[in-house]
Amino acid sequence: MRAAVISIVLAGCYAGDYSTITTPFVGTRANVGCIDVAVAMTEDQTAPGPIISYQFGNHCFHQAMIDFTSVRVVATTRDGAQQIELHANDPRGELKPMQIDAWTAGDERIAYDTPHPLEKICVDLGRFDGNRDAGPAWKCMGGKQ
Amino acid sequence: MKAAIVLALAVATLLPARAHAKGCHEISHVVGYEKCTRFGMWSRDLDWFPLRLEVGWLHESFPTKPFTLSGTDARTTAMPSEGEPTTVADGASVRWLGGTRLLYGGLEMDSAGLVRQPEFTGLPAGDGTMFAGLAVIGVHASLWRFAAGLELAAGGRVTSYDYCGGDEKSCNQSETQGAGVVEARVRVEWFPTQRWSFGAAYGRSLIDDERSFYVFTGIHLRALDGMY
Repeated sequence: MRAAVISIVLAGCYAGDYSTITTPFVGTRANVGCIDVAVAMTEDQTAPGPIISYQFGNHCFHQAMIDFTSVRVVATTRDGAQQIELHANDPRGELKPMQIDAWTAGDERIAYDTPHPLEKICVDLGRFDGNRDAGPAWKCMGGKQ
Repeated sequence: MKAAIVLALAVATLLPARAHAKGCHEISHVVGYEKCTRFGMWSRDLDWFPLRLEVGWLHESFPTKPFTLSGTDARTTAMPSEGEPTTVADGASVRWLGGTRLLYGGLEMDSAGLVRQPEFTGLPAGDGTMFAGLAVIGVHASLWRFAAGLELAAGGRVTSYDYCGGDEKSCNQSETQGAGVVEARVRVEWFPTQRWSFGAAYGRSLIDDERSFYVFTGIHLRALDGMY
């Protein structure tokens, strides 16, 4: 019971500085308007890779937008021969811009389709807050597949 | 008091739990492969109703209607006539509230013991009680981690006065009074975290001389009740 109340009180609370009240964000960090976001490569037993973990929090005292549809992902193949653009694997068509409450944190893991082994993956988070006029903000990670 | 605490725990138990707590076994945390959740569970677009539960300590004073005691020993005692007697009660208040960015409303249940009640010569006061059920409507606004609001509470209150307690059966006498409540309140609230708050409220009756002071803590389903 006590645990249930504590989880309600703390769940989704963003503490600022790339951390929820209980755990820090993992990965490469970027600040996009009101949104602090960290991206990292991760793995999953069910979904095919590569998979990018996004952890984000709204540090403003008003709602903000989170727009995964604006995120561009570019990868370099392992042989270094080409750069390819990756598209989110969204079989249920769930990805869409959504608002997030003030001082609230969230996280999502998204799989990307690729037929090639990858060396490096770069993510453009510049418009992650839905600001279509913002410039690019590329963050790169070593690739895994 | 005990009833109010039990009620509060029951409501807290009914608040939404995570899906896996209901027996769903998550097979993946990747969008499109999740079984128990879906994309955007963090979003305010899901329209979580901004429900909040408040539990607090209540101090209330209100006027007492004159009454006469008539006990089993046939002794009849009247209240002193000078001045308007006041009853003071300390206890618990539980509130379930929800609403929109500016407006909120809900229900309030008060349960308190009497710490001051009309005195009768030769009759020691026993354990009197007060129960109230109120509907609440108000406006609120937030600034940074603080919120303030004005509200109107209306409903009914039942007060039970007891004399001589249960030990002296020869003079066990009681009086029960019902009264309407219409109260205007001002409240302030501080959010140490987005879903947890402390606050205080002060109220004055619009129909009699009742006053109340309420210190509370609240659990909020929506961050800052979504009131920005």
